[in-house]
Formats: sequence, structure tokens, C-alpha cells
Amino acid sequence: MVLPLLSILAVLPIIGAIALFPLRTRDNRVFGFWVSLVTLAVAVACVVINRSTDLSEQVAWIRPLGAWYAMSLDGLSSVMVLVTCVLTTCVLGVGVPAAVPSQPEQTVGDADPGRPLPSGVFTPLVLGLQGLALFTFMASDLIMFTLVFEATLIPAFFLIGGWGSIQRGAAAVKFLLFGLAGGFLLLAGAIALGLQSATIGRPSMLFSQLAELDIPAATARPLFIVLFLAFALKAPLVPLHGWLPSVVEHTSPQVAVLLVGILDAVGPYGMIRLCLGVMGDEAKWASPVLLIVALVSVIYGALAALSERHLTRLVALTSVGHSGLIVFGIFAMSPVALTGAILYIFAHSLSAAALLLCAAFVAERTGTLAIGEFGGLARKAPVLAGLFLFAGLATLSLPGTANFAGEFSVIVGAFASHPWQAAVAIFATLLAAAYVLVAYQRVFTGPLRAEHANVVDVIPVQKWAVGVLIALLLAVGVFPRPLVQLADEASTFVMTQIGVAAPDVVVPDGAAGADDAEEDR
Amino acid sequence: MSQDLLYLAPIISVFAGALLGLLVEALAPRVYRFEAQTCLSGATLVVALIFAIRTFLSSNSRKTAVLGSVTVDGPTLGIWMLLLGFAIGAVVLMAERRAHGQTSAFTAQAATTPGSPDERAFLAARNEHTEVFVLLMFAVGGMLVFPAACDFLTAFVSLEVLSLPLYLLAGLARRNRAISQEAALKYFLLGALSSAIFIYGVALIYGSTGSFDYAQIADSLGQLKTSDKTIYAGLGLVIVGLLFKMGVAPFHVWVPDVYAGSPTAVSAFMAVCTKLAAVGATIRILFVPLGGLRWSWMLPLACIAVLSMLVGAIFGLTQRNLKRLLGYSSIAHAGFILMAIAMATTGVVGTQVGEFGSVGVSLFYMLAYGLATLGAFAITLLVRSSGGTEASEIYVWTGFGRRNPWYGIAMVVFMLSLAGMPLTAGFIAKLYVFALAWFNGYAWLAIAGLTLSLLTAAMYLKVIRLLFLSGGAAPSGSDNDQPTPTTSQASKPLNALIALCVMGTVFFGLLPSQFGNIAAAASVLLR
Repeated sequence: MVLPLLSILAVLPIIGAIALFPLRTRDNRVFGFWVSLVTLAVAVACVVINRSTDLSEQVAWIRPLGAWYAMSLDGLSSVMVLVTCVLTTCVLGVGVPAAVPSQPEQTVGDADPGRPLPSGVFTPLVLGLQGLALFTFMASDLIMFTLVFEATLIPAFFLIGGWGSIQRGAAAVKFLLFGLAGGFLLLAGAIALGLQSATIGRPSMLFSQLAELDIPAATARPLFIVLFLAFALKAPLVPLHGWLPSVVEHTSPQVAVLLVGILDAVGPYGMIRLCLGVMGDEAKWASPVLLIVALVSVIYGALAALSERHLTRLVALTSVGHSGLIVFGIFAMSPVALTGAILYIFAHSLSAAALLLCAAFVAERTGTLAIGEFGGLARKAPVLAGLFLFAGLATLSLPGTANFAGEFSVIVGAFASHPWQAAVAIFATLLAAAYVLVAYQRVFTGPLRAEHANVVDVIPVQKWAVGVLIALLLAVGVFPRPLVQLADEASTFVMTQIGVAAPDVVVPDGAAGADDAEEDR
Repeated sequence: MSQDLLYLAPIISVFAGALLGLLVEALAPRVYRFEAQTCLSGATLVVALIFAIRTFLSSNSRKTAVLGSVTVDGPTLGIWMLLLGFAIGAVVLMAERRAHGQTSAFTAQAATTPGSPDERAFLAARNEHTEVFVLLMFAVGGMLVFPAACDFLTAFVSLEVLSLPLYLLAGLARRNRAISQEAALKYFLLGALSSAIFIYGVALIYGSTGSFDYAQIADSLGQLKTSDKTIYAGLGLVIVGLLFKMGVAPFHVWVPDVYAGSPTAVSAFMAVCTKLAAVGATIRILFVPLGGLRWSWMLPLACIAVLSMLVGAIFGLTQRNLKRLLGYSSIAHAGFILMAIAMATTGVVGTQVGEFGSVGVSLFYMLAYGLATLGAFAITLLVRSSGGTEASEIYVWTGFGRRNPWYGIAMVVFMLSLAGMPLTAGFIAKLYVFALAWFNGYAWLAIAGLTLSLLTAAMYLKVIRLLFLSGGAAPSGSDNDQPTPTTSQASKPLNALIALCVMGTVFFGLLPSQFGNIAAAASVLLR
């Protein structure tokens, strides 16, 4: 009997959460942090062990529907699992969020917002969310995936509603309803796929078995669109992105880290898993349109971020743009671009998390998140300014960071087949430089405002939390080999499955190469 | 014959318990009566449940039509087990005195006028009507017969047997008696009307087929002339009568008023047990005698299901009283169950879904719905306004979860289950219903159901948000005129009931196959 390591990995934080729940003391935070550290260690161990021994688990769950309790850890899952564990540890290290200031005109309204939830529940909720997210990223059965995917909404609902601005309750409801809408789309897709599987015999909802189905195009195409919409809502892509900025604005930045870094990553993850892995032919069919949709998100996210006046909303909007770039890489139908997209999911989650954590520290010190009300904070908090700048530079994909590795591969991979679209994407990344640097300039440089004279610099815990993220981004940027291996494995598998072979020449040199590729097609 | 008696044992024991209860009422001294009646009815239901489980486990040939008027087959036993289980829960709710300041929740003396000096005298004497348990037992007896009946006369008589005690029970609240009596009157008038419609439909079916017996009707359907439209009128009227008892829109108008006005224990009993009995009877009547006409009732029922979900979801969103909200919730859920029934797959081997047919899925849905609804009503019972009266106005619930974390978490679990969120039985129940509809070619119905689930979820979210995300602030100026709500202490059985409901909801949300096997065994209807 082999130890069910993957189940242990996912259940560990949940057990931790339940064990912590009755404790209301401050120990709860420390203990929770240790639980997340242990989980991180187990996750790394699982990823390493899984290279040599297959850790997959599979037990029948609902027989008539062909649903399995099935977990596996391939390259893609490994990346997501690592992201989840790292971010959770950082958030728990930073601790329970303070209240988020709301802009004056927003305080009018029906709401009796009440006090934040007792701080003792924060850690258990975060751990619960982590456990469910781990299940989501390791599930290899569609019904189980749908179930845990929707289940993550429950702790997230309380996290959003528990800490944040005065409108956090409404934000939580909004988040849950949008999340449920995506969940129900996914459920519809799952049932329809299950029907296809049932018509050829005993139904089975395993991803691997669904991929082998031969579905007639007339059924498969609407089905593909439904699944894509479910994940586009989660990612989110324009025009389904409306919920993200307002939810991020009204919740605390720490919770926003989990939202943007972990839960939103389910969107691209699901696209690779289902839209590409299960319905590859339809993905090829839809690819031209999806690339345009993705580009619209890239441009929109960048332009909207450029004119944004609220620090966390700004990060949310950049995340919309980055999701666009990830989706662009996913549907460029090139192994290199897909590898880049997976790398970029990792990099984006970490860099957005670093920025949001910095925003949390800024809000804690100044009591505001409106960009216009800052100025010169670097003088009082130089380390914080440095951390913010590093995170920002990673966000704009400075060479040497993981973001650059991801973005570069996406664009290079896409260039061969889609030169014009890739060119537009490059343009959008230039905008990224503008919004990041403008935000840095407005917040940290210039004359110091009188009301911020007493601002102090980050405390060691906070320095460490962001520092670890930045160190990881730099490490992967400089030495991407291990992560690229994981991502490459996943993308090669998916691409051979749908019959797109890796090209011999990975990097076409300039426009000529692109033209050649164009003619080749 | 002895075999027949064994089959009938659950019915017999419940009615015997009810009659014994009458004797207790006549002979036992007043001080002991309440405890005696509680124990008697609880014990009777447990005995009946044991009989039902024994029959379910032991007999492999569940086809004996006992005395020609009752069929004890898989679906009957499945419904009996659920029904008796939930009825025990209802007894626990009715027996709750601690939460009501050591008196029962039922009126001191039903014969007195509300607000009269007589009433005050009886209240001061702490008088209690212990007959409520006997009424409950008679109602349960009727509910056991209704889904098992296999001719229309037995069905009608059992329908009346289950309804009459309920009309009375609805009017017996100790506080807010005028509202309670109004609810009873509404329920009685509309119930009588629906009974009349049902019996008229039965008469028309008798007119065209010449029989009350389900099997004979089914046989003679084949020989009907195509010009004979009477049978369709009869079918329609019978369905209306059944849907009324199920509380399906557009025959739902009584539901919110009656649930809000009745004593909470009775509301819970009606919301779970009455609905369950009606679902069982609907399944049998539609599938056995009228199964031959299914092509003419499947589509209309599917449309009514959508309407019911829509009405429940939209009106539920606007409610400001939790019991009314649960009423609309039950209307919406009746729509989901009807969706499963309208698919008319009997779960015979060879259907695409394998073990799962309309019956099995309806049973699972009723289990999920019943656990969550019973639990939600149980918690409603505990919330008091400052005067000590039961307060189900929704503002009273503001911050409830912060003051009482355990009850708050339980309530969240029930609301999540009703909303169809994962990790609860409600999610699996919805998954089954939608899969059943989709696999049977009703993809549009499944999509409508999914869309409307989102709407219903909004209604439960409102409650969850109130429970945990609001309140806890220092009372501001605007809040001062509102009385501070309190939570009364619950007795041990009630706490155990709530805990059981939570555990059941989560258990069947994670391991639905445990019930699936039972539902599969219980899903083959016999003629």
C-alpha cells in the first residue's frame, strides 16, 4: 500500500484549518503558518517524488455518472501546486489584514457592514482555501474538478466578506455569484461531456478518458464555448472581467493575493486542462477568435491600469491584461508559447502577489489606497519602496525575472504562426512599463505629504514575505531550467495529444522567419 | 397473511401509536402527559422505521400488493424510511419546550379567542395541548399510505387523513395566534379545493377507464379510443391536486403564508414530510396508472417545473421573513424535484443513467432538501425577539453567526446545501437532477435549471451574508429602536437533531454513493 501522498498534501491544510478553528488565540496564527510551511514542504516532496514514481490515485466515487476520486500531479499541476503553497505561506506570514479604507463617496449606502470577522478565523479560512485549491489543481476527474472548483468559492466568500472596506459584503456576494455562474457553466459542460461518454458505454469523467472521446463537431463546438466561457469568467478575460477590480478593491489586499494569485489561476489552468487537453480540435478551430479575445484583454488591461487611481484595482486590472497574455499563449497552438504561458501563470501569480502585499503594507501605514493621496513614501519607507519597485519591474517583465522568461516564450512561440497578433502583444507590454512606473512615481517619489510624516518602514516579517516572492521570481528568471522542465513536459504532452509537433527551429530570427512560417502554412 | 401484516407493520404501528396516544390523553394525569406523548410518538416512529428498514433489507420480492389497495415496493419503502426519519425530527421540534421558556410552542387552549381573558387564564396556568402529537401521528399515518396506495380511493382517503390533522396543527400556535389561525383557514380552504379537484379528476378517469385500480387503469389505457379526451381532463385535474400538496407553482400561493403562520415545528413537518408524501404519490400515480400517457404529461410538467423554480427564486429574493423565504425555497425545490419526475425514467436497467431513474434521483433530492430544511427550521425556532416571541423577521438574524458560531455554521451549511454548493448533499442532488434531465434529451431543461439555481443561490447568500458578514458593530442611532434579538437555549434532542442534519448534509455531499445504492434498490416501481 503506497501512501496516498497527493491526498495527504491536499487534506493537510484542511485538517489544520479544522484543528485551528476552536483556537481563538494568537497561537492560531503561528500554528497556521507552520501548517502552511509543512504543506509547502510536502508539496515540494510530492513534486520531486512524482518525477520518479507516479503518485496518481484513483477510486470510484459516483459509479452511475462515471465520476472518480482521482488525483494526479503532472507538470502543469506541479507548477500550480507550488504557486498555491508559496502564496499561502506568504499570506499567513503577513498575518490578519487590517481594515481597508474606503473612499468617502462609497460609504453611503444600505450596508451595515459590521465589524470584520474575528481574526481567529482568518488562518483557518486561508488554510481551507489552500486545501480546496490543491484539490482543484490535482483533480483529474471532471466532476471532482467541478466540485472542488466551486467549493473554493465558500472560504473565499468569507475571506472577502470578512476583511476589507465597508462594501466588502456586497463584494463577497458579487464574487460568489460570478464564481457560481462559472461553476454552473462548467457543470453544464461536465454533464454534456458525461452524456457523450455515456453514449459509448459506461460513462467515465476522467480527463484522460474524456480526451479520447470522438465528439461530433456540432456538439463539440458549443460545448467548447461553454467551457471556455466558464474559465474566461474566472481568469478573467474582457468582457467578463467586471467583477474582479471591484472585488479586489473592496477586500483586503491579503485576500486579493489569494484571489488573483491562486483562484484566478484556475481559469488558465482549466483552459489548458479542458479546452486544450480534452477538446483540442475545437481549440484549433476557435484559436483565431480566441487570440483576438485575448489580445483585447491584454490591451484593455494595460490601458485601464494606466488610468487607474486605486492601487489594488490597478493590480487587478494588470491581472486582467496578464490573463489575456496567458490565454494568448495557450491558444497560439505552439508548444513554446504554451510552455511560456505556464511559466507566465507562475510568474504573474507571484509578481501580482508581491505588488498586492506591498499595497497592503502601504494601506496599513497610510490608511488609504488612492494613488493620488500618496507621495514621497520612499523617504520614510525605503525598503518598502524597493520591494514595490522590484515587484513592479517583474510585473513589467524586466529581463532576468520569471515574467520575462514567460512572456518572451509566449511571444516567440506565437510569432511563428501569428506575427501580427504577437506584435500587438509586444506593444501592450510596453504599456506595462508605463503603468507600473507611473504608479511607483506617484506613490513613492516626489514631496512627502504631511499626513504621512510618521510612516515607518516594513517590519522583518513583511520584508521576508515579499522578499521570498521576489527572490523566487529572480531565481526562476535567471535559472528557469527546473520550472521549464515541468512546464515543457505538460505542454509537449498536450500538444502531441492534439497533434501539434514542436517545431525544429524554436526561435525564428526576425520577420523573415515569421514570413517563412506564414508561407509554410 | 402474516407476510402482509409484516409489510403493513409500519402503517399499523403508526396508527396504533396514534390510538394509544388518544388513550394517554384520556387517562394520563396532565403533568405527565407531555412527556408521555413525546415518548410514545417518538418510540412509535422508531418502531415503524425499524419495521420499514427490516422489510427493505429482508424481502427480495417486494411485489405483494397487500389487500389489493397498498403496494409495498422499492419506492414505497424508500419513501417510508425517509418519511419516518424526518417525522422523528419533526417530533423533536414539536417536543421542544426549553427554547420556548419551558412551555410547548402550541396554544394553551385552542378553543379560546385570541387575546381574550380566557386565553390569558389558560396561558397563566401554563396549559398545553398534548393532542398535537396524536394529530401528528395520524398525519404521518396518512402520509405512509398515500404514496403506497394503489387505487385512487385509498389514495384519496389517505390524502384526507394526512391533510385534516395538518389543517388543525397549522392553527395551533401559542403566540401570534391570529396569524396562525389565518394560515390554518387559508390552508384548509385551498386544501379542500385541491382535494375536490383531485377527486373530480379521479371521477373522470374512472369514467373513461371504469376502474379505480392503478393496474387496471394502466391496462385499459391501451384500449381507449383516441377520441376520448375525458382521460386527459382527468389526468390534468389529478396532477393539479397532487402539485398543490407538493407546493409547486402555480399552485403554491398557500405555501409562504402557511409556513410563516404555523408553529415552526409544523412548518418544518409540512415542508419536509408532506412534500415527501406528495412526491411519492405523484411518482406512483404518474408512472403506474398514467404512465401510458407520459408523452402528454412530460413536457407540461417540465414547463411547470421551470415555472416553479422561477417563482420560488424570484419571490424568495424579495422576502423579509425567514419562514416565508424557506417557503419560497421549498417552492423552488419542488420545481427541481418535479424536473426529475417529469423525465419519467423508471430506473429500469438499460436506461442510460444506469441505476439512476426518476425515483432514485427524487429520493436523493428529498433527502438533501429534507435534511437542510429541517435543520434550517430547527434553528429558526431558536431565534427570539427581545419579548421572547419567536422572531423570523430577517433583520433579527443580523450577526446571528457571530453571537452563536455553532448554530451559525450549521445554518450556513443548510443554506449552502439548499443553494446547491459543493461539499453538501444539495450539490450532488442538483448534479443528479441535471444529469438525469440532460441524459434524457431535456438539455434545455437542465440549462434552465442551472440558470435558476444561480438565482436561488442569491436568496440563500442573502441569509449567509446576514449571519456572518453583518452586525457586530456597536449599536448606532438607527438600530436603537429595534429590539435586541436573543437566542434561546435548545434542549439536547434539538441540538442533536441539528448536528445530525449537518452531518448528514456533509456526508451525503461527499459520499453520495452510500445513498445511491439504496436509491437504486428502491427505484423499481411495481404495478
